Amino acid sequence: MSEAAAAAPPDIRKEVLGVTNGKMAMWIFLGSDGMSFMGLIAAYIVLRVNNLDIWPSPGKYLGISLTAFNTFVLICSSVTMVKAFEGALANDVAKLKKYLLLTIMGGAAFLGMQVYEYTHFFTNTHAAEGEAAFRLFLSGIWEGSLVNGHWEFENGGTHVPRSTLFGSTFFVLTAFHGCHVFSGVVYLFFTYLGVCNGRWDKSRIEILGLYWHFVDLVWIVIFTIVYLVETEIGTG
Amino acid sequence: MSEDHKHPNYMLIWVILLVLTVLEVAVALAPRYLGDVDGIITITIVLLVGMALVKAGLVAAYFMHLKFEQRNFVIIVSFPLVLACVLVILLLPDVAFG
Repeated sequence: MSEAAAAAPPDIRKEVLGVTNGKMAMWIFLGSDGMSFMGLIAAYIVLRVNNLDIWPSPGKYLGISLTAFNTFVLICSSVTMVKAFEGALANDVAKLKKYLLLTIMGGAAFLGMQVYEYTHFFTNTHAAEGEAAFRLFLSGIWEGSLVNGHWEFENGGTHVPRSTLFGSTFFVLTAFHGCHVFSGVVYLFFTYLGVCNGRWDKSRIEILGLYWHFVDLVWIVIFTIVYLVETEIGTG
Repeated sequence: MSEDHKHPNYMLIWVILLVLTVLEVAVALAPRYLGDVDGIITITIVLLVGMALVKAGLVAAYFMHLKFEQRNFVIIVSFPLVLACVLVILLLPDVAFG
């Protein structure tokens, strides 16, 4: 759509309750998506509270500082998204493009750090030779040590799966959110291409922003309950 | 669309969100340094969940412009949140008798 069309007043027949149908549709999707997340979060709470005695301290196994930085990146990308929408409202295509690109970069950086985190959990490449370390799998935490380049676990060389729920709930929650971030980056990318080709309007940028802020909002909740909440006094 | 409202100060919201994030990490680490104080786990959980809700509320109100929408619309889109709370409350027996 041309810039002139982008500036045209909204068509009253396409609105209900003061919002466009597209925006209403996105909100309905976000409502149902939020309930999907809430189902997983509620399951997490029930499983964790029922297994407090075997639940490890998240601070001991999860990288709080890296994830706090990741949260920071995601919050910043939310701010660049509202800046992009500001640009769209002002018909300032240069500003819109610049901030959309920054938002894409923020989302990609978040995903990259999540991949780094997962790789570290699967391989624990930072474990020094002979040092006690762990691997985090869906089946839980395997504690062992790295000897001559291969892993030796307690219990006569076999693995020691601990608290199997810890790994599976962690990966299901964070990966479900990661898929949302990935979809968001793809969505942002194609919207960015549309802006480059002059096919955009304010309402679409606003709807895109709603999705992106929702992903940020859900991460705030997941970061708190999965990473930060400790149910025992940790030493880690 | 919500074009007629005055733009909120996004940078201020950003700063508040960052300060809350730093506070959250500090609160999460507090039990390690303060040691076994009475009820410290409960206090940190309440503080952490409280701060997370404030952050989520700020994002919804300002970034998602809920503060500037019609009231009926806000009620409609907030309803799933009520259902989500109902879900957690209905699961409480599982926690109590699990």
